[in-house]
Amino acid sequence: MTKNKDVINPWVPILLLLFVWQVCSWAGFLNSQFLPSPLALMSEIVDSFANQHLLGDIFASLKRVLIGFTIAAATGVSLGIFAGTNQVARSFISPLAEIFRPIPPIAWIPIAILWFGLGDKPAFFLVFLGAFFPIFTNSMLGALSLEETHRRAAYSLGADKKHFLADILLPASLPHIFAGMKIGLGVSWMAVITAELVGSQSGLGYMIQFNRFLLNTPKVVVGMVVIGAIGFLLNRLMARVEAALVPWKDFKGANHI
Amino acid sequence: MKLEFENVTKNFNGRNGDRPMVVLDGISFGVRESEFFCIVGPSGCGKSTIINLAAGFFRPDQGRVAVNGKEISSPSASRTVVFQEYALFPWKTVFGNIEFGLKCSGIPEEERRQIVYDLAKKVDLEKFLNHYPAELSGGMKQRVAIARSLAVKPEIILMDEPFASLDQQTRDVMQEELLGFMKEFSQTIIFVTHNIEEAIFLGDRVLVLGKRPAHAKALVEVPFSKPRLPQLRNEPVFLALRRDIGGLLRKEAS
Ligand SMILES: Nc1ncnc2c1ncn2[C@@H]1O[C@H](COP(=O)(O)OP(=O)(O)O)[C@@H](O)[C@H]1O
Ligand SMILES: [Mg+2]
Repeated sequence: MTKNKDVINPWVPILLLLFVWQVCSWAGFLNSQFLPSPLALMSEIVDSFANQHLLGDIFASLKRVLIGFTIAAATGVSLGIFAGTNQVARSFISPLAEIFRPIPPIAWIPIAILWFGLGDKPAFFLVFLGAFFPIFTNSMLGALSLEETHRRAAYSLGADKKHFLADILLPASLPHIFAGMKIGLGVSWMAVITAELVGSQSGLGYMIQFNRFLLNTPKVVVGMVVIGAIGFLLNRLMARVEAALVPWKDFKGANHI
Repeated sequence: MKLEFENVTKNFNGRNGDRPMVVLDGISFGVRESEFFCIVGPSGCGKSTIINLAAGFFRPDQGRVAVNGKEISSPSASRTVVFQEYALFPWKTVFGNIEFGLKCSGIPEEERRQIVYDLAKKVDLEKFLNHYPAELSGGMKQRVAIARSLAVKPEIILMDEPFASLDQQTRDVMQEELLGFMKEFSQTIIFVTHNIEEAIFLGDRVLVLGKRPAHAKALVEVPFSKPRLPQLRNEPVFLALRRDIGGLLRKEAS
């Protein structure tokens, strides 16, 4: 019933890309100095896990995303719902959000390092900045999408503020909130890599930068592949969480009942 | 009187600076305890506005709307509403929808479950308690909405064209079912419709409204006792009454 249900298993295009890439490498179309073949990368990845503590870098990046994203989700959802229900708050916060949103995380790096020094903190900050705006904006839209008849039905059934928030406003906003969190998590993942390229001694961004200075191109590509794979998995994970928490979303026109 | 409208006036601000639109212009009527009170009128005449005022969703500009002599100031679970567009919560199952009002009034979980099961059985939905509204037909959705509005044991149920989006057959069945399970409850009902036959078949009395601004054209005592059987719809007295009210409304339209 879902419109965006996959008609092809997502592994099919991925494996096909790897296959074509491998064939092109075998055929000599690709210079292994510039782009190693998938099979060569496989052994590079194994080597990175064994000898370059790749796992440690992965966890360093994931930890930064987890913390920055959690803070962004908590503040973005609360402020977004608040702005969606309160006209004054909305007119106050919206222009500010619109001024800050277009500034990409990378432009914040000098300031972030100046304020927070090196290490985890500037990364938390950049991740937070990247995730906050899509989550805030979509949560606000979610709260605004609550239908007047649902509000009226709730109050005429005796809802007080607490029940209205927990049983009506939040669930009604959840599909939008998840749309925001999916975008936000994607931006978070990009932001953490950006932060680590410059101001960090660990993480996948640092690993790429480190190997770039060693002119170790295969390891740079390993970093990229791992970033892509984890981003892909994070997105899938979010979709799973959404399916568990928004089970009514799969029905056609479910928002107009 | 259970519920009273006294000289109620309601205006809506016109779009782009038009003069305010008068929707209700000093309307008065009273609904008796445990009465099935129907209001029939052409669409756009202000029927939903009457329901919204009685529910407490907004206040009249002039006049008084009172329950048991006390002026209404806000919505309350003692006056529940069944909407034309169902207004079921899509994120709650049938069980969750019926349960919501009970949860709000602080009834313990075990007791809530019992009440929901009993009601679901009455409206023939006990097999669908775990379904989401989007999985149900229009008639089933409206039965959930009726069960939901009954669960909190309101004094008054306000029904705003609840069957208007259903097909003819389903509508007839729903009307008969509604009379059936309302027997067991002693709620006062205000039922708004633009369908004359529906108003006569269900109502103890029918208030006939003219075009906007809504004004009472007639208040008709329906001369049939309850329970009412489906074949009543074809009885000469029923058809004559239907024709009379139709005449009142048609005169208005021309
Ligand atoms: N919130 C509102 N703002 C402005 N106009 C409204 C509003 N609600 C209803 N109206 C207008 O008031 C008139 C009566 O509406 P309503 O009570 O919904 O009629 P009915 O239910 O009999 O079809 C209509 O012309 C409608 O457009
Ligand atoms: Mg209406």
